[in-house]
Amino acid sequence: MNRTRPLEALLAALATLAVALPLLTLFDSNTWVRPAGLVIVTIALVGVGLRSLALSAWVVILGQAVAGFLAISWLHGRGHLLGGLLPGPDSVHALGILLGEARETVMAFSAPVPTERGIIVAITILVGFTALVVDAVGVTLRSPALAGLALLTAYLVSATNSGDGLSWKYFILPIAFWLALLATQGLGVVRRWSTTVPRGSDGADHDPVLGVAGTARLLGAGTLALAIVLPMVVPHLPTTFLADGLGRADNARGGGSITLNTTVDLRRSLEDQSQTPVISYRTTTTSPDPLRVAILTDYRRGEWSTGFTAGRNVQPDSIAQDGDPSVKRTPVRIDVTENRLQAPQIALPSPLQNVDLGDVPLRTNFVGSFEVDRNVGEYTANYNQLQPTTGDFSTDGPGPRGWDEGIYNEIDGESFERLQELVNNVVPEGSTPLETARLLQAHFRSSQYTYSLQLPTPTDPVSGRTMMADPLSNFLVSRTGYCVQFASAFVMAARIKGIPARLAIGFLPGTFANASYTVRAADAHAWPELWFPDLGWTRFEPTPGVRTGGAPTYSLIPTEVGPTESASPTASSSAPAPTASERPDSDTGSVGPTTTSTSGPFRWITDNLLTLVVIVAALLSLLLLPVAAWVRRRRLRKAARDDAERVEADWASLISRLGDIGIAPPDGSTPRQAGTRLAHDAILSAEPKAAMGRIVSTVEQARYAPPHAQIPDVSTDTRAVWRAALSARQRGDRVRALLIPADGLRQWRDVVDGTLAWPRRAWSRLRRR
Amino acid sequence: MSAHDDVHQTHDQRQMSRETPRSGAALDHVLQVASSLQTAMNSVIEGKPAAVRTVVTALLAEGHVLIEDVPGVGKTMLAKTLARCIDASVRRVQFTPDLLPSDITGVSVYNQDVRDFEFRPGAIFANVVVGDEINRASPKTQSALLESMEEAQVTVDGTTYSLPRPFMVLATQNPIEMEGTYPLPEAQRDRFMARISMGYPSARSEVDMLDQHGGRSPLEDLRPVTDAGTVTQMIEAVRSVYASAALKQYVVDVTQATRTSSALRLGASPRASLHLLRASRAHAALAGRDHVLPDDVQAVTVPVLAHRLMLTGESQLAHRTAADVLTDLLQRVRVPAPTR
Repeated sequence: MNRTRPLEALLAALATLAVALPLLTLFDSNTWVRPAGLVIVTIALVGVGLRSLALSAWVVILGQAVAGFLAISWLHGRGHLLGGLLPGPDSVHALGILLGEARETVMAFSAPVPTERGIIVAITILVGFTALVVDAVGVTLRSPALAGLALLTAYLVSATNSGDGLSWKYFILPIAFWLALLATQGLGVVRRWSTTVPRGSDGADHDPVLGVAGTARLLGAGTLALAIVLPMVVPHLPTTFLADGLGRADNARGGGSITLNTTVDLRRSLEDQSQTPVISYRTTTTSPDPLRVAILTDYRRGEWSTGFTAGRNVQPDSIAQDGDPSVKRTPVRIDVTENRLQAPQIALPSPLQNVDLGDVPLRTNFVGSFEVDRNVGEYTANYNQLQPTTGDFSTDGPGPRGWDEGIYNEIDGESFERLQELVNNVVPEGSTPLETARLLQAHFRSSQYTYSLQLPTPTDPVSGRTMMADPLSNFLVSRTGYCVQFASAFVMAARIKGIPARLAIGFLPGTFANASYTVRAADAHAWPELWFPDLGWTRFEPTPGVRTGGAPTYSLIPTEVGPTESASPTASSSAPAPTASERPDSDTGSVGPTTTSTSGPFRWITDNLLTLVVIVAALLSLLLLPVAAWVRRRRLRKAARDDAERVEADWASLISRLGDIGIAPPDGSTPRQAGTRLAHDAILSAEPKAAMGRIVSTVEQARYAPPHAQIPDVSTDTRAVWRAALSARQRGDRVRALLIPADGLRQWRDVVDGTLAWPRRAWSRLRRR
Repeated sequence: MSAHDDVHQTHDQRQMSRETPRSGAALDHVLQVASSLQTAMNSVIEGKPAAVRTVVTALLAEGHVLIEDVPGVGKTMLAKTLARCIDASVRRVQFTPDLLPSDITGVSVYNQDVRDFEFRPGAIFANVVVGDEINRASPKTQSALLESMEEAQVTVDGTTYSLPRPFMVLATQNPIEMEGTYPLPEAQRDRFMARISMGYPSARSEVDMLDQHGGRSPLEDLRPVTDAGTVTQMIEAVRSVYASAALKQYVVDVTQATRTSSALRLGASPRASLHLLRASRAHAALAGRDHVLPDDVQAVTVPVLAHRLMLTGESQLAHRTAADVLTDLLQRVRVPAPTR
């Protein structure tokens, strides 16, 4: 056997290179390919050379590692080499600096990352390490299957960081090379087995191993094709967990904690819709309000942020109320039973009256959002649902805190013109702030806007070219977006009209089931809050669609003054948005309490339809073999033409069933010996033993007695023996015997053989031709 | 009428007797007589019921028996006991190197009175022939005996003489005494249906034997329990025992397994298959059954086949006997289920 193994080394190198290629999607140039390729080649060549010297495997690997390090030093740190040849402490230091740079770059940028020198060094080292591991494990130590793990790890680095899935082309190449490596080594091993079949003994002068090789290649190619084709056929499903919404412990912390990003970027599509539960709560109201987490006031270059830190401790049991206490209100209490929101964030309803966090202090900031120091698993909050009349929306009164500092009236400069145009079109001159807000909300909720988590690529409506405008302008042109875009546009429009406005982020009320609401990560939401002196900060809901539910009653235009251009808000709130990509069942808010509670079990079923289908399918698949076994026994018994054959069928099925519980007669045993042995092994008591005796003598009669002998029916006896044998076994054996009967496997094999018989015949006919 | 026709006739009789309801009664009779025969023999041959049973099986299956063992374990006694228990003509031939073929088959001598050659039957003309120390005679003499064994007839000077029915040869030989012996060739051993090794008796049986045989020969007390006619009827009844197709397949599978076994240089012949089936029939009849079971075949396989097989050098070096190899084979050969 050739110890050098150049072919294997080549395949290993190619597999490493192929597995590094998807990194092209992560970086903005391909300047790293050449040095990485050089390092791979160096390691492969050094491996071949050292192996040819018949050195120990570990010496070969050490040699390769040293050679790889030298190659990287020469490629990237030529100025720091000792005597221009050998790497010294200086070059190690230089490499360290480059790697530090690479780390900074990777942390700062999302893909595609700019290819700086440090990045190239880092990729070269990673690729070189992969090449070393693959060559060492797959070629030198001759375990190519294990080398697959190293390749997979390297591949996953690209696959998990590229955002979208990788193209199938990136997958097929490394797999093909790896399978080829596996096949080459496997065939080498098989060829060393001695065989008693001389070459060409069957007339054809061919290597007997080649038959095996052909099958292996066919299998490999088939597997590869399946791996490509199957994902195309199988529909892409959202990531859900088997136990989603099933029996979850109240204090389960398995899902980890969640943090809401308080820097809201309007440019990002919101593709990830995690179903991870965040908060569970009970409430006294039938139509709960969204839970606020943070308040954002500052919009700059497409990003909302808050400029205020929460430093001031507040008394949780009496929180200062904005507005006029004479406004009609309903006190509401919510009991949060499970909270996974990571501190300092905390989700609270608004306007908050008091909150019980145990001994965790509550802090507030300048604009009035709340924070906690530690994670709070359970808490209780009381707040007021305001039912203001039109008169309560008067503008006579003080402005909000910070109004004078101008934090609530900054307007985005880039989209100012478009916003101004929109406001002029929608809001007639002389409208009150309430009318303005109502008209804007009705405008955004009208059918002119499309709710979508996928932001469209902005294109110029005239030229059709891609237009790189600011995100708010993009939204106003494309009229497609999700809550963040709607709420931002609303806030800006309100500010143009001089109304103090800000963006609140938090969670929608969530899904009602089993008397409590569950808020998931996908329920994250953003909405505008407008200041009215008598009411304080008041929520509006410009985002259309089933997801957000209905807008607050006060924000709706009274029907008699409804503008003709937009659909009635009530209608739009009950009709689903045309392209809403949410599941309809995440509808919350405006659905009446009775509907919600009665549809509870039904909703649970629809929520977990996939899980249920999987469970039912799994349960049904458990029955595949037992049913097939039953069918087979029945078929054999029915196919019997006389008593003798029926007894024979009964005997065969008894032997097979006893085999299922691990009791089998010896190969060359006669029925009598088999009966004795089975009765002994199955530890039969006297009665079933006698039954076994009757069965055996009947089988002997059927097989060996002169024709026309009297043959009794033994089905009762076989049942008795089977039951007795089964009951003497342990439960595990019993379950296995009942669920995985050998008869069932045989039946399926027969079915498959029967199905394949025709194509096989056709194939052989074709080959003969 | 030639013996050949005789065989055919009995074959036809067998065909008829299978249909007659008397077959059950005939088998009962076989069982009864055979058990009294075994009881009588066991009273003389202490502690060897298996050997006795094999001899009786061979008798009912029309086979000849080769008794092979060291001197003094009762080979000749067994042969003589069987002969004594059947009220039939018995001849005993002591084989010596100078024994001539004509001593066995008979010779034509010139009769002065009738002025013609007259046939003087040899030792073979008897129902039970006890050939003592058969390997001491020359091969020529041995073949004279063996040919008449196979064909149940003797041809002297162109005239064929049928041997009486039933006809059974019980030959004894000594396996370890090599000086002055002519071991039976394989082809000739094949003519014996079964070979028995007596083996030493157990200590208890030996003590009993000393007690009882101390005075005079127990053979003298033995009275015949059956006669030649009854034995012939029994043989007919045994032939009517039913062997199914699956069973015949099993017999063939067993003999073919000996031919393909890597431990054997020479496997069993087709004649061995015949003998095996006949012996199995007799064994089934002795168990009181009217049909043969694979268990019957297994019970008689070792005595019927072992002496026909030749072990390979490897097996001999491994100190395996033909019986060991056969036992292994029986554990591997599948008992065929009836085919559809």
